[in-house]
Amino acid sequence: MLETSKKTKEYRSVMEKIADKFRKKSIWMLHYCTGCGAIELPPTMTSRFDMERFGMVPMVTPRQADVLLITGYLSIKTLRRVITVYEQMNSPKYVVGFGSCPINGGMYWKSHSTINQLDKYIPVDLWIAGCMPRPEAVMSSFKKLEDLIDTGDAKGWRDYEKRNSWYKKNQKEIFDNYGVM
Amino acid sequence: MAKDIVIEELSVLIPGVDVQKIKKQQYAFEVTNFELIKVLVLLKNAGYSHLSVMTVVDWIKENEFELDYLVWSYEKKIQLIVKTRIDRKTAEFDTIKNLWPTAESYEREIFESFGINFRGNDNHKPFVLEDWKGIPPMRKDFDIDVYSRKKFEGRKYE
Repeated sequence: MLETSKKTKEYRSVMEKIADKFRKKSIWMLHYCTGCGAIELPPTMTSRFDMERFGMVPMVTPRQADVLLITGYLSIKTLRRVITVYEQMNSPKYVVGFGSCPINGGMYWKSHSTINQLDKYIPVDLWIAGCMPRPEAVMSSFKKLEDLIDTGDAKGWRDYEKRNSWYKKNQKEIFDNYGVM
Repeated sequence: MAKDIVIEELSVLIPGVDVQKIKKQQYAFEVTNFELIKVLVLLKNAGYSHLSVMTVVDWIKENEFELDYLVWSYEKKIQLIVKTRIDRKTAEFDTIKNLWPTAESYEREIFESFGINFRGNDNHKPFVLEDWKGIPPMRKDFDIDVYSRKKFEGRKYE
């Protein structure tokens, strides 16, 4: 597990600090699977590892979800949908890069259709290394995400608002007719 | 050695054809460009009614594309691979979508990934690729390494 390098503390009001305490206890995960890592999620959800004891449940619509898991490799075609989905989610929203493919391309780094770094296009709060990470790693990363939310370090969504032009520039480098599905 | 019944049947159907047995239920043979559609019509009438898949091999040294049509017979439980070679420069061939309507999608994909134009099939909508420019990615002279390094910048470690 590696954290993204965010050293500076954001200012949070008292109300936000209290809200973050509650937010960390009910993280709803968007049920959206992009690659082969999705196969590790059913054991994480179901009775053996049972992520619902941490207050995490899968949610079917992006507008009601808090966390977006990028499970595995991401092709250009999927990236366009991921960006749309990410922008539909309500703030605060968190992104977890899952497996080695979103980090540096993984075993698909030399391909005409898969991207090599995810955090050029959308901000990532937490990485899970491994190909694929076992459910234990997924569970431990969820606990880590709770801590990051509590301390106010999971602030990728603020970064997306602040440096939106940089992210948009990178997205437009890949897509020709940006914004058209 | 007893003669193979499938090879005998095919040599009656298509005179002068050289059939190779690949495995128990799979046979392959090559025909010329002009014969291909006639052979496919004959095979379809002879029971090979299902077009399993249609694919391409890029023989870059010989400067040719090899089109492979895999047809299957439900009665005989035999798969035939009908091959034909076309020129790599012109990269054009006739469509078979009148014989098998499913071939339209195969030809659309082949047009996208190999750049082979099928006369009579104008369905050139993007199939798998997104916003593709440049030479088709499945050709042997397409350099994935150079393309990937240029388009998707690798992560730099400190």
